[in-house]
Amino acid sequence: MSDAAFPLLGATGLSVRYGPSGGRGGVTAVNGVTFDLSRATTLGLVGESGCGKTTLARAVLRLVPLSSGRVVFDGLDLSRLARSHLRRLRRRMQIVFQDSLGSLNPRLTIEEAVGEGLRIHRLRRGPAVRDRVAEMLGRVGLQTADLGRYPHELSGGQRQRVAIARALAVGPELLVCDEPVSALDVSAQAQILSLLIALKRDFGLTYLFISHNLAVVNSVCDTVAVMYLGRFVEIGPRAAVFENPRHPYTRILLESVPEPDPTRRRTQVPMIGEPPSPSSPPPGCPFHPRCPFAVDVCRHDRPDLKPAAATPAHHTACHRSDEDLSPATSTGATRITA
Amino acid sequence: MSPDRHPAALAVRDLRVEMRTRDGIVHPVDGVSFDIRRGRTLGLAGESGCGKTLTALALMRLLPRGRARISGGSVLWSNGDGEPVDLATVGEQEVRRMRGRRLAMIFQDPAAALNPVFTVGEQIAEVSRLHLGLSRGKAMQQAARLLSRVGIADAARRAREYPHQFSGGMQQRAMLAMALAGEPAILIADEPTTALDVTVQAQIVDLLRGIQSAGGMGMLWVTHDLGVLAQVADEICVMYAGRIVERAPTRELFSHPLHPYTQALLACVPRLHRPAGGSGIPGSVPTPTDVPPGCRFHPRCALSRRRAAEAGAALSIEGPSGRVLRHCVDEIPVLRQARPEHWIACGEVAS
Repeated sequence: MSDAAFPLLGATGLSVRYGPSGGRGGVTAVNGVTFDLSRATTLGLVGESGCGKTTLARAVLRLVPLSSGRVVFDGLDLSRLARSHLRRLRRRMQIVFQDSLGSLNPRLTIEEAVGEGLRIHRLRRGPAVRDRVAEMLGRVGLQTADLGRYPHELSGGQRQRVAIARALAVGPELLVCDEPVSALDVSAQAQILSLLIALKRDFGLTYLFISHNLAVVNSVCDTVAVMYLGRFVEIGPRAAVFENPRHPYTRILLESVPEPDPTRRRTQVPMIGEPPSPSSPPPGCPFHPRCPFAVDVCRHDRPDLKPAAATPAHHTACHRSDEDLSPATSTGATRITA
Repeated sequence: MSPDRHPAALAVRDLRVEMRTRDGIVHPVDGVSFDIRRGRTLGLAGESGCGKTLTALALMRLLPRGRARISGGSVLWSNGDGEPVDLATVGEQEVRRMRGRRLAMIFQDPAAALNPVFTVGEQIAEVSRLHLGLSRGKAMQQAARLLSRVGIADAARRAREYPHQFSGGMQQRAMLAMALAGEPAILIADEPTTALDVTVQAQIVDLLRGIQSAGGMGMLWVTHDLGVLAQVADEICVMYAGRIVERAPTRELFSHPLHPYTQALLACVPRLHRPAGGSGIPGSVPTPTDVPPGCRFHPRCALSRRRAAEAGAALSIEGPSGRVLRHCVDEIPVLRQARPEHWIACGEVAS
């Protein structure tokens, strides 16, 4: 089962729908997502608020029910597992959230918070719990002196270290990181990112790493998936996506990153407006109302993910991904003229 | 940058903020000076806890009452004619007249700054009724105009909605509309884009730039992210542990970052076209109760450690976080001009 050639995590046609089942008025937050995640690699998941990336993260951990599709973890179909079996499996798949203040119990000390999983999964008993907690704290750059402190006494970066220590204490193989650095200032961001990279290397961890910022994903990922209105619109090896983005939305996300270089100041906002509501997605390509390159076919037919001819691992869902889309071919749908 | 073309609307001199803590009185803002000029954006950069938000709140006279107060320095407001007004000492009534009218502020978390039980339009209208004396009806029309100016489509209808019906990006726009309602001469923006998606961030940055170039408003933009300041600021002050450690025009600062702290902060900004460089600045900003002697950055300073290793035992000293240069511990560095228009407070770089 633990064959390296097997993906640790796989999703096939995964959909999550919120709201009345079968009826109207619901929201399809994740819509037919398929991917494989090999051991000891990182999939970066990028998209704006509301694109479904957090729901997808929760779905692969079975923290929300799936509406259709499958999630397979190390050969086990999570959608069919009994609750008790699933609970045992949770030791092997952990999550770190964006809001460390909200995700840590304010009434538990750091020692209690990090040790909780060890007790629940009966991995350590008595004084061995404390030893393991101290070991994990050291591993994430905290000190034994911090054992008795409470979450509110720590800085945001320190709290995120606690959240990581807590997740790692039970010895997981998969770590889902949901915007783990978005609430931190840049120096704490850089610290946490380099910590995550070191932990991945040392423990052979597999990450599903979520962020709205491609520059953050850049430093940690092997594969990048770009999500829009519940679907993947582009997925491929990191270098391919960053150096040769094929979907207009990916390009816009890249252009939106504030680069620390005043000589390359943006003169034009790459895109205006916010994504349409997932409860009433537009027909055709979901991105067409905001796409500067949209043509007729985009308004009627939804493009499927297709591999690029030169790099088959690089998939894009865009009718025009094989064309040279320079600003001159823009249809001007979203450009600001003011 | 010609001072004449961009006169200082707000001249901050040697500003000190004092705070009461269990361990006694501390100074989280400890002698800060800068000018906010008409039509220009001054960036104030630093990590959490460096005092940048307290500085912004002090300018607005919004420090938490009973816990913090301005204990020194001046904040001179002038609109070109008449005597400047010192916001640090002026009475509460006068401050209330100026706040919203002369100086307005927007915050990181718009959801907390908007009142959930009033419509967005009512909240914006309140400002123009209060400061410009508009009637209720006129003020509501003005609110819709402002919402449309900050890029909200279907503004007249949206003005009748409540904050929870707005997305995060729209709430930030609504707060901006509220800040603009009093037609302020100075806008103080405290991490206005930090909680937003990068796409919306770019839009808000562009929006603020457009409004500023049209109206000649002066801006103070407070953030931890030098990447954002590269996009918006004309001049940047880098703040550390209550003091300004480097000040320069934006292009100059990015082409010649001199202070070891600025260099470290810059290395932290995530980039697209370069693999992750730094692993962050070790440690964190000292709390005001626990500021190190001499240069406040010395316990985290890579330059001081590196030079200490070369300098030998006589010129260096063993600190809690390693060996550093002795003068970094003994002498308090003052801001000195190192290059044209470029000031730094570092005893090692300047020498």
